[in-house]
Amino acid sequence: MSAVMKILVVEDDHQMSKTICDILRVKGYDTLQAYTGEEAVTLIRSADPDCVLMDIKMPVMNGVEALRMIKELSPEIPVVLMSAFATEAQITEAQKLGAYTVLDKPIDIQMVLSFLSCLKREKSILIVDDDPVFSKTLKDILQSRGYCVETEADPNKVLGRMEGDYKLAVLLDLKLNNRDGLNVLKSIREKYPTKPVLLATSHQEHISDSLKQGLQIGAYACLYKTLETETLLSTIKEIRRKKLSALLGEPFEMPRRIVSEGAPARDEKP
Amino acid sequence: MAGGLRREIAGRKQAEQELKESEQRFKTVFDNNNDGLLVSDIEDKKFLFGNPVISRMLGYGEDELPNLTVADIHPAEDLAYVLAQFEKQAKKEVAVAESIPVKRKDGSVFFADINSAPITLGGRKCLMGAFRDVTVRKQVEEAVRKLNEELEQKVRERTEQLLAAQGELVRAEKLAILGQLAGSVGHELRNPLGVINNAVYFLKSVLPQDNETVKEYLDIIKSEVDISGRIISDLLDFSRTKTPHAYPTSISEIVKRSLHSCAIPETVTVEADLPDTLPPVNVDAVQMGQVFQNLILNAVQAMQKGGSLRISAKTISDFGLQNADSTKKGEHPALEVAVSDTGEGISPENLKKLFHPLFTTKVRGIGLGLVVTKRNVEANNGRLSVESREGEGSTFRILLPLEEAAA
Repeated sequence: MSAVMKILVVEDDHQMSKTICDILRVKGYDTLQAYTGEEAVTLIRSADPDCVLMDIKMPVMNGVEALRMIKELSPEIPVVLMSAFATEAQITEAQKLGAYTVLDKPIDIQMVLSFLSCLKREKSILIVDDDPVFSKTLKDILQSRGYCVETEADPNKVLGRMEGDYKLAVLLDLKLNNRDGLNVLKSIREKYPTKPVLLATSHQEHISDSLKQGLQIGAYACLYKTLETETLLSTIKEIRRKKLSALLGEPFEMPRRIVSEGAPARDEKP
Repeated sequence: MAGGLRREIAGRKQAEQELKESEQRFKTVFDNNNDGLLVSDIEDKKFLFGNPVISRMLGYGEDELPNLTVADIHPAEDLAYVLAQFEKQAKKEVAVAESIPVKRKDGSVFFADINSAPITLGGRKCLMGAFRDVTVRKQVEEAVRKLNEELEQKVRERTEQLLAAQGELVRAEKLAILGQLAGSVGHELRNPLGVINNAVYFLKSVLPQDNETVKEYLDIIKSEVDISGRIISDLLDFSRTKTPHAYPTSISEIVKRSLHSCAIPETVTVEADLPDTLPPVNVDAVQMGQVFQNLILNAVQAMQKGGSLRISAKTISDFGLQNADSTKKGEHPALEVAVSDTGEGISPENLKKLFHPLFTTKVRGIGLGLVVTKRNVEANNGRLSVESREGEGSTFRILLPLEEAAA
């Protein structure tokens, strides 16, 4: 993603399009304007925007149809739809196709701005584990996928690490040297009640009780070591997606599930 | 002379004979008539004689009849009418008096048509009445009349039902049209409102901070746009029903978020009693968010002079108690959330109309907010009730069934 994010605004109402784009530019974004679904699809090919904000009700090709074509061309591009009066079928279809949400018009522009700023932000993850080799290898993997990763081996320093800096999620080892992982989880939950914490453990049989406790305290999910990279990545992707959706008013729920080997986390994208 | 006398005697005998035969014929006809025959003096209404049929009808012996008068064989309460008919018949104004109540010796009553004719007997003006028992006919007539009445009643009821059904159809059709209209008007208005909103936001972003008056006016525009947007949302929500997407949700979170999204003036203090121990409820978070936002806004608007808004939640065990088709009492745990204000309250009269569409006491509002709120609560299997005292405030109570109840 380049330094300045490029937002494609797809809207057949010229005044609406102009005002949205003016605000986005004032807030430091580049904007592209499309007045039809067809124009939007063309611009996806030619201009490579970072995010799409698109009306549903447009003549000829509506926003949901345009969304389908955009996702075929660029499956990863974040798309937010807006509508004055969307049908339930359209909303369901839009979410199935991978839109973050369908915003009711008049849209809350502040909401869109916080969504965009979160999109722009580095995807930062904190790994709390006392095994340096494990931390190192995992850090390498995540970094190769574009995440910004910090590691911490001292459970007493975890809360300090979280201050000020935004973290997408925390990956926490259940068995830490001198302090029980559950206590660390509790202290994180107290200070950051909505922060997703992934519990990781290598002892499959013995500590399933602790895992259950962990989920009760509010861990997002539990994973077993050795971690399947794809499982971990899809879980983190899911968290990011949910956090972004939550910024747009969608409810954020913790699945509180145990992800074991061979049973990868459910990825909500098709 | 002798011949003449003989002839005269013979003639008289002849006449006597003829009279005898005539009397005989009369007696035969009189006694064997199918009707009960009764001869009465017009002046004193005393009976002279009657035939065996009338004596059977009345239960008196034939010899008893001369001791009776008209007053003895009719119920006292009908006597005036009967006597009036009697007089009319005596004057030949009426031939048949229909359905006259007649009293037997044992006091029981039957109905008779009485066909009368005045006759002169021995110089006395009399009335001979032929009584025909019409009790059975009268019963049949009565039955027919009743049937008719019932039929008419049924026709009336059916007609009313049909009219009601037609009214219902017209209302439904009107609502459907209102729905479509709301949809298109809502859509058409939401875009311009959105543009105004964006324009205000833009101006506030680029305007120098120190221009207080302009900022104040932009805030006014913004809040008016918000009000308009809310009215349109109510209209749109009213015109369509959304199926709830329910999953276990923390009601405290929803309430907190709703409180956060409502602008609560400084004159209103907020007190939230939402224990951490509340179990999750299976609801659509967006719909329930709307519910609480609406209730909170209403509460705030009811406290123009300030007051206290209290939101409390607790689990209760008797969701099913008020449920008519529930047989197991106290086995339906529920979550109760109460939103109370210390505002102006609602009059008993308005309380009745509170959930009717288009009822409103607000200066700006179309009276759909609480209708939509109630529908949202019910769509999530909950119940919404209200208590209010004028001058003291109102409490809106939401009951939501807990998981165990659904199992």
